[in-house]
Amino acid sequence: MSVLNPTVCLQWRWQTSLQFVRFRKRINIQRPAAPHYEKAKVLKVCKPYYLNPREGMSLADLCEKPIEVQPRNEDVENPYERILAREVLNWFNHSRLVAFFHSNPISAEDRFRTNIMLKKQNMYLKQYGKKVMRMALEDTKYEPVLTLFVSRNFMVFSPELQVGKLLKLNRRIPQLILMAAIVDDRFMSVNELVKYSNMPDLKTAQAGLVAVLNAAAVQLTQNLTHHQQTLLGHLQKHIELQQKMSNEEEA
Amino acid sequence: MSIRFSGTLKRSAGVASAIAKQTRLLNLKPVKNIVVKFDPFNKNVKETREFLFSLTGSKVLTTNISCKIKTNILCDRSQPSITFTLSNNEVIVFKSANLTNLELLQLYNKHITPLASTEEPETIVPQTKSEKKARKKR
Repeated sequence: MSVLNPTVCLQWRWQTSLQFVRFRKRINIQRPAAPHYEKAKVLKVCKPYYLNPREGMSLADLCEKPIEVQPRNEDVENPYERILAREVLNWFNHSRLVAFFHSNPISAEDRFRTNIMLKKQNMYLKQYGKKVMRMALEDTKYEPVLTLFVSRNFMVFSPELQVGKLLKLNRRIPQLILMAAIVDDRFMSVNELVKYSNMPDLKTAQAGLVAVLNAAAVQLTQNLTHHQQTLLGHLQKHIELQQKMSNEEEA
Repeated sequence: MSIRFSGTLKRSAGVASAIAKQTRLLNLKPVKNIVVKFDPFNKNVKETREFLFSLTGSKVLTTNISCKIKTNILCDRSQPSITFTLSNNEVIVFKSANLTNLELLQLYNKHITPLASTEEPETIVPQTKSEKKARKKR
């Protein structure tokens, strides 16, 4: 009755038959039985073979580190790095002053305080890695800057030209050491920056230039009119003395 | 018949751990003044800058708070150097153009750090309970 019941019929499944092979204690691996000739033929045909990558190499080449062990350069481009590189180039193109600092160990708190100090002067503190900088500045006019990017670096960007303030800040922040700067598209070392900050403003410099240009003509007129000027001077003094004497007489 | 053991039991953990070990051993106590001179545009300046970075770590600085570290940026493409003025007024100059960061640290630890241990600090012997009681009774 149960056999004819459809629910019981559905429960019939193929049962895998289990036949235990390992009934002895140890399995035999080291002395396997020789296979049958036909089986041996199939095994021989299906055996995998690998080509020797070092075939045909000279002894000199073989003495070098094997190719399989050498690390492959994974040159997978990271889109975030590309974005950062674009940002860096943008900063370079839109700031009149770009300062490069060597960085000693600086705590996050000190870095934050430095950031605030700089922001108050309209200067912006940035730090990027060598890879991003190379990506940004290679094949541009800013390529020489890459020689500075060895060890740890910080950069300060400013849309205004404030070299004096930059030098003052360099003294106030002990962990950052100024190495060089780009001032109005001119790459300057520290000496040149100091000279630049000590220079007078443009109008004074122009006045000085005008004076230098006129110096020869001025000297010439002085030489020509020297005797006349001295005579004039003596005469004036004579008049003054006479006036004094007449005043004294009246008194 | 076996030969005597030669070689290493432990493998080297790399340059970074060697540098870390040397940095842990650094002691600025015998030095009163350090002047690091380098030209940032010189090719041989990387290791000097890294050494300056190692010297100015917070843990290293706490070994001697009164030690002044000054950096001179040169503009004449001259070779980098590090000058240590010790507290006994001796002056030691490291010409670091062809030395690596690790070598500089090793040299420092070989020549200058041992001078710190010659100044023995006063060891405070802790008092036992009975000693304290005796003091109180007095």
